Amino acid sequence: MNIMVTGSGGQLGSEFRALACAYPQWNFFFFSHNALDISEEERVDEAMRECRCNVVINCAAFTSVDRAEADPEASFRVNRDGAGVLARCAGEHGALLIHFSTYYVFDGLSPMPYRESDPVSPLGVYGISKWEGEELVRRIAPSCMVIRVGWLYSRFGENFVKTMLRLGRERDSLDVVADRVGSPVYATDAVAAVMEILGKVDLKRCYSSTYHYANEGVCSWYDFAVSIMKTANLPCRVLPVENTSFALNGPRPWYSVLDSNAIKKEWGLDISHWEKSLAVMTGNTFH
Amino acid sequence: MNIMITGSEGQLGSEFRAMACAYPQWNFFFYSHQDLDISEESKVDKAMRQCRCDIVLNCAAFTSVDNAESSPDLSFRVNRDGAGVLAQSARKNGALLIQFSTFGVFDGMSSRPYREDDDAEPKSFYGKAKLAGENLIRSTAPSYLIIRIGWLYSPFGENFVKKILSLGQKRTSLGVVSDRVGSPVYAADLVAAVMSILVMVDLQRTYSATYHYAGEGVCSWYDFAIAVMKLAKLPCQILPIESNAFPVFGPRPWYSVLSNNAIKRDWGIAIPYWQDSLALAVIRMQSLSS
Repeated sequence: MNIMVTGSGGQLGSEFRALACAYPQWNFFFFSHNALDISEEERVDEAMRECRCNVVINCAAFTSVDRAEADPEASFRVNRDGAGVLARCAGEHGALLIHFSTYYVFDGLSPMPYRESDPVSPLGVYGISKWEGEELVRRIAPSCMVIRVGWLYSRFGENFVKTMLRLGRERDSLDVVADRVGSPVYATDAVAAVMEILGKVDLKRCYSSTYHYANEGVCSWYDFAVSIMKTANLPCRVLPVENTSFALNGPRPWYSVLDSNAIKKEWGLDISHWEKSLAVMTGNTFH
Repeated sequence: MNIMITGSEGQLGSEFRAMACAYPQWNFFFYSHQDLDISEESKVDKAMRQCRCDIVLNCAAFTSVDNAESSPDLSFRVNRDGAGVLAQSARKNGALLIQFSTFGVFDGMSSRPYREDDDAEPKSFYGKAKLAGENLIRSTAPSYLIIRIGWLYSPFGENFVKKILSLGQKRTSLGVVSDRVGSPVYAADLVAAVMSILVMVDLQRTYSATYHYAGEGVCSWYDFAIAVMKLAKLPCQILPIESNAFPVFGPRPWYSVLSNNAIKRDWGIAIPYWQDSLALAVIRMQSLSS
C-alpha cells in the first residue's frame, strides 16, 4: 500500500511521519507544503502518479482562524480548492482520500455533542472554507473519509498545549477562557486511529463517510490549562476568565464537543480520556 | 446574629452543621425536615419567632428529579409552597432569607454558561417547582438572596460522588453518561462561600439578588467519574456512554454550566477548581467511611 501524506510539516502530518516507522509494510510519501502546494493540480497529479498512490491523507490546511478572516483567499485556496484538487486526482488515480476537517463547520450553539449528521453552520471564513472543501471531497472523490477533529494539539507545530507550557514556565499566573467547552484531540491518538483504520480498510471498496474524532470527555480551555500545568508540574496559577475579556478576530464557537461514537463503532476503536493523553504528551516533553 | 437553618439533615444542611462551630459568634438553629415541615406556616412562624431569627437559610428541598416527575404535588409542596411560607415568615420577622435553587430552572439547551438573567424555562417538575419557589420569594420576602447551584455533592446524603465511590469498590468497569456537561459543586465550598457572605452582609440593608454558584471548570458525568476513580485510586474502569443508553424518568438538561462571575464579583469570593475540591472531598469521604 502506497500512502501519500500532504501537509507533512503540520501537526497531523508530523505525527504521521513519527508513527510511519511502526508500519514498515506500507510505503509512505510525505509532502510538506513547500514540497507540494495542494492547490496546484498538475503537481498533485504528478506526485500521485509517481508514488502510485493508493491512499492520500490530506493534512494540509490553512488553520489560522484569525488569519483566515484577514486573508480569506488564502484560506479558500488551501482548504476548499486544495481539497477539490486532491479529490479529483484521487479519483483519477483510484486512491482513497482521507481528509481532515474541523468542528468549525458547526456554529457551536448546540448543548449536546455534535453528530456527523447534524446540520453545519460555520461562523467564519475558516469554517466555511473547510466545509466547502469537505463538500468537494464528498462530491468528487469516488472513495473518501472525512474526519472532523476537535481541539487538536501535538508535540509539533503551534498549539494551545505548547503555548500553555511555554507561558507556564514564564509566568506565575495566567488568565484562560472558561466559558467555551470542547474536546481536546491529541494528534498522536488521531493518527494512531487512522493507522488502525488503514489496517482494516478494503481498497476494492468505495468509502464515503464523514466521522467525528475527539478524545473522550469534555473540558473548557480553563480546565485544559489547569490540567496542562498539573501534568507538567508547573507552578503557574490558572485563572478562569470570560471570553469577552479577549478580543478575538475570528469567530469562535461556544460549544465544540464532537460525538465520536460512529468512528468507534464502525472501526472498533478505543479512544482514551483527554487527560490521559495529555499526560502522555507532557510526559514526553519533560522526561 | 441568629441563623435558622431548615432542612438541616440534607447535603447542604449537614455541611452547615459541620461548619457552624467555626463561627462561635453566631447562634445557629438547625431544623431537620422532621423537626419542621417548611410548608406549615404556623410552625415556621413560631420557630422563627422563638430563635429571634435574623437570617433563615433554606436548605430544605425535595431534590429527587425522578420522584418529582411521579409525585409533582410533593415537589411543589416543599419546593414552591415551603419557599413561599419561609418568605412570608421572613417578612413578618424581618429576616434575610437565603434560598438555594438549581440549574434545573433552565432548559439546558444553552451552549454557554448560564447567567442569572438568562430566561428560566424548566423542563422538569423539579425545576418548575424550584422556579415557582424562587418567584414566591422574589415577590414576598423583603430581603433575600437566591443561590442557584450546579451538580451538588458532599459526604452527606445521596449524591453522584458517593454513588460512584461505592460502585467503584464493587465493579471492575462502569458506564457513565458522557454527553451532558455541567459544573460540580462541593457543598463545603458553597457553605464556606455563604459563611463569608454572612460575614459581609449588612442586616440594615435589604437584598434582592439571584446568584449562580458552581465550582470552576466544567465536565461531563463521565469526566467527573474518572476524576473520582483517579483520586480514590480505585481500579474501576470508567466507560463513556450516551444518555439514551441509560434511560431516566425525569427530563435532564444537556448543558448545565453556570456562570459564577456575579457572586465572585459582588462578594469577593474565590471559587476553587472542581477537581481540587473533589480531591479534598474524596479524602474526607474515605476517612469518614473507614
